[in-house]
Amino acid sequence: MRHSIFASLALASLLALDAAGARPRYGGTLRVAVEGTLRTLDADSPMTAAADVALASGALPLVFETLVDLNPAGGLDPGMASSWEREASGLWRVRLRPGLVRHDGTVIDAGQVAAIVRVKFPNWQVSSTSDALLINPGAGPVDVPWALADRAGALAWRLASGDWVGTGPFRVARLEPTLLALEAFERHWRGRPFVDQVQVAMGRALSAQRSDIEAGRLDMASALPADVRRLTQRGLKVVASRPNTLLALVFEPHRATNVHDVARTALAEAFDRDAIARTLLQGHAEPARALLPDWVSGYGEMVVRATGPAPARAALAGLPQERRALVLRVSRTDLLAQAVAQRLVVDATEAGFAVSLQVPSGSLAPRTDLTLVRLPIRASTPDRALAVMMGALGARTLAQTTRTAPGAGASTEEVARIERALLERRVIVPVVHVRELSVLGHRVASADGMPVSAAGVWNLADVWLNDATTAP
Amino acid sequence: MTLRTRLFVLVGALITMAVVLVTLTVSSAARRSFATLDAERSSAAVARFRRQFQSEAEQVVRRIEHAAASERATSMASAIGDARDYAPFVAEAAGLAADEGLDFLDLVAADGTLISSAHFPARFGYNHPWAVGAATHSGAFLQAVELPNETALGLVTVRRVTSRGAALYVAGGRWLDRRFLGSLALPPGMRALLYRNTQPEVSRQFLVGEEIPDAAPLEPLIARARQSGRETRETIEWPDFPETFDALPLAGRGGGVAGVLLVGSSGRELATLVSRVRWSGIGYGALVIAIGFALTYVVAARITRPVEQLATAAHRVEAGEWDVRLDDLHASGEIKVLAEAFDGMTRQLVDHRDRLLQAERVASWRELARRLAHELKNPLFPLRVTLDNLRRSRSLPPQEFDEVFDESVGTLTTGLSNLNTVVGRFSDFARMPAPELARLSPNAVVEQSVALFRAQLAAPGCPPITATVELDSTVDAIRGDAEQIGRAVQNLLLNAIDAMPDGGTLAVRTRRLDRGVGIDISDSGQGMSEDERSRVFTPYYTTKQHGTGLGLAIVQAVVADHGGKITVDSAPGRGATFHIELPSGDEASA
Repeated sequence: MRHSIFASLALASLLALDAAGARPRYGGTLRVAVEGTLRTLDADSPMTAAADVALASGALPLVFETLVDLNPAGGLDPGMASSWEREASGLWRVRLRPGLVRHDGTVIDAGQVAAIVRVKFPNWQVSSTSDALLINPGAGPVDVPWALADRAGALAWRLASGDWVGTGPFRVARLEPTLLALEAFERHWRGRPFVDQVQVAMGRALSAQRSDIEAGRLDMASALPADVRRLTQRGLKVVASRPNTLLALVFEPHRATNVHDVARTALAEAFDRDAIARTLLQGHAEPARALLPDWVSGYGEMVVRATGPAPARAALAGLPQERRALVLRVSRTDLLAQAVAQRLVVDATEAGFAVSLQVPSGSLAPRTDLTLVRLPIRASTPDRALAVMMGALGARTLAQTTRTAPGAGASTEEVARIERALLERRVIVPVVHVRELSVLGHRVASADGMPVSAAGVWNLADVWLNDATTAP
Repeated sequence: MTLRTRLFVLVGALITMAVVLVTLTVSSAARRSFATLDAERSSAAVARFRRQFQSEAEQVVRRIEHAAASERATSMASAIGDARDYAPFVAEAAGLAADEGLDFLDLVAADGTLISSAHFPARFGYNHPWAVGAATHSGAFLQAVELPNETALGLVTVRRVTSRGAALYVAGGRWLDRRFLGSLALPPGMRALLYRNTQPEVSRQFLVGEEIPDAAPLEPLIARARQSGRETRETIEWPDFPETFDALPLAGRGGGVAGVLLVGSSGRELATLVSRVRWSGIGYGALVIAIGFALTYVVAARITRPVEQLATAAHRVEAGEWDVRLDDLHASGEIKVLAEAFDGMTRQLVDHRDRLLQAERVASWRELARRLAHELKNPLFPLRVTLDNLRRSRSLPPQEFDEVFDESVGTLTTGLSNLNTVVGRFSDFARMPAPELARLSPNAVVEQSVALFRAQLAAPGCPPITATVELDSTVDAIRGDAEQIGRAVQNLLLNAIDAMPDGGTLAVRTRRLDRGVGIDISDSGQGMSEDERSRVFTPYYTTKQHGTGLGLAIVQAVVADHGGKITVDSAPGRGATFHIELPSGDEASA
């Protein structure tokens, strides 16, 4: 089965590339650089930095797979599970592909998978047959295949040695503070990846990544929207994900009181989100009218409206100066957020605020009034996405709004209600939903042209290097 | 103040005045020279600024024209004309500014919308306040340019780019900042500051250039230059040094003052020079004064030594040493004449004294002879009469002769006894014994002496004399001869009683002296004339009918033998007071 799949994929690739004048090649090391760092392979380890989350979301699926995959169109594709169906009894039967092998060489069966799924979804009743899982999600509107497609359900085993192993197309060769080295897994159910190794240099500044990839010293790197024009003019390919990060303003508790309602509302409505998304971020972002982007929630702009500086100025006219004076903090390492913050300062100043930008260099900094934060959107369903986002906001902020997170499988209406509760006091002000940009070097090629998926996952199993020496 | 000290002070003052005068003259000349030099340096600095400004302006114009003519700008104008979408070009200004070496650059659409800004990227989309209106200005001009956190002053120009009917304005230039001020290459001691006139109020925070801890003193100067629009000069007194600033208003495009150039010329060098002159003056002055004092000492010593010898000789003469001679005095001129006159004077004084002493001695002997004659004459006369009676009585009958003889013998015996008494007194005075010193109480001696006369004063027929005794209990014992001192006191008491034949007041008192005791004896008698008072202690001088004139001489001799002194205060009709001062025992013994 495995060989037939591999053969058909290889044939399809060859046919496609013949038309393009390029042929897939095996071998070589794909050189990647990222801003974030990965200290552990434990998927449950908490991460706060947006760059770290982006790295984990992109790289870990190469090692740890889900039973069900999300396709670029937003639908579901078979992954480790070859099929799934809901029986009349309400029981979900999820059939596994035969011959699944872990990176340590162990051939896994349905029982081993069921054990992991029980841990990942403790509210479910999971049993197994010889080739399938039987899942009873219990009461509530839980869509089991979507839940299994979520990264939270990725299958990872921890060995007695402490090492983590998965079933993905690459296995971890080395994890060091600044290097993640992956090796092609020969026995992957889809066949061996084209490249032998993927070396991820972690903690590299964006400017260094840009110069390295322009000089041909990298094959894949992160990019800022402002660099896209320059990079494409140099013949490099830039791939954008769906908007998977929210840039939002979060007021500090001392500014979240009712006394500051007028100022918060005026500020929330003063920004020209379209200009930020379309011009500043070169269309690689969308104006945020809600916490969740439209592709996740489906209900689009429902909470925030933008009126521009003039009405806000009128609203602020009666406020004393101290309520119009704001200190906006933004991360020193987040260049994109800094650019957005500078534009927010311009808009706010036009509206009548006196905003000073604070870019703290250390952990100690003067008290701020509001912060521009990056919130990850890393979930397959609205309820999970909002729950993850609320987790990232933290209890201190939620204490000013609502602490009620949506339950698993919560309806869209329930998610919308909670989101409205989060936003109605303007303590949290969405600004833009930002796409993740990856730039590919000249020697990178792939069959479908998408080394990075719309969800920001690295599809490096189907990538080869043009200067690799081994033909298929 | 001695003559030598006066000479010191005079010469020192003259030298000091001379040094101060020279120092002030040199300082004043240095100030004038520096003022001239300062004005020349400031003018040169301003001229250098104008040249640099002009050169910078030409560079800005060239670079902006080059940028406007670049492929990047023309293709952008073309693309804008086609699509009217500014978003793809939001980062273009930074690249264009970097290519042309410009500090700042704005790309502005024909409608005034800021498409891209190299120095304020987040400002895109807003209306550009001055680019479109300034496009007709061919040269470079000063302009306040907004930055994210401040407003800077730039030397700018604007060029219009047209392509396919669309227009694009390229507005940019270079900052008038520290780099520009540094390019002026001012000489040491000068500095240039630039005030950005971007706000209605004058504030030191808009100063560009070298950091000044407290620039508040500059604010009035800036305000004057800003308001008048004319070059202004003022000297600022910093805590360490003065600094003269020329404030040069810089006109903007519309003719208003866009900035003020401040060219400062430090007075530190002048202050240092003046300080050096001052300290040199003080140093050299001190040296000259020291040398002057040394010379003055030598000269003054040569001048004043004869004068001091003269003064010393005069003091010795004053002390009674009349035979002083200035034979060893080396002088010339007036001092020599003075010394010779002094020697002549002392010679005459000694001569006169000797003659006076001889005269006095003769007078004394005459007085003695007169007194002896008087004292002896009185007893001798009855003796001679008795002897004549006795001679004549030889013819008388024996019985009568015997009576005369017995009577004559009695008279002769009495007369001889009187003569013997007179001779005894003179003999006593001549043979005054040396005092036998012992511890004695002056109060006791006085009290015992007064007690001897109390009975006499109280006796009938005695004139009514009231005696008062006032003894100081703090008087210490002295070393002296109690008998001699008692006799002296008694003599004075007797004299006082004799001086009051019609009665009066006799006052006796003792008093403590620093080193001894004072005894004062006063009477309210007829007193003495000046002549009598001057001769009262002369031996054998008396104003009494039967006195020997030795009483007070003996008193003076006793007092002198005890190392003391006696004086008298008296005037006719006002009584007399004798003051005895006796030293304490140690001095008396010494």
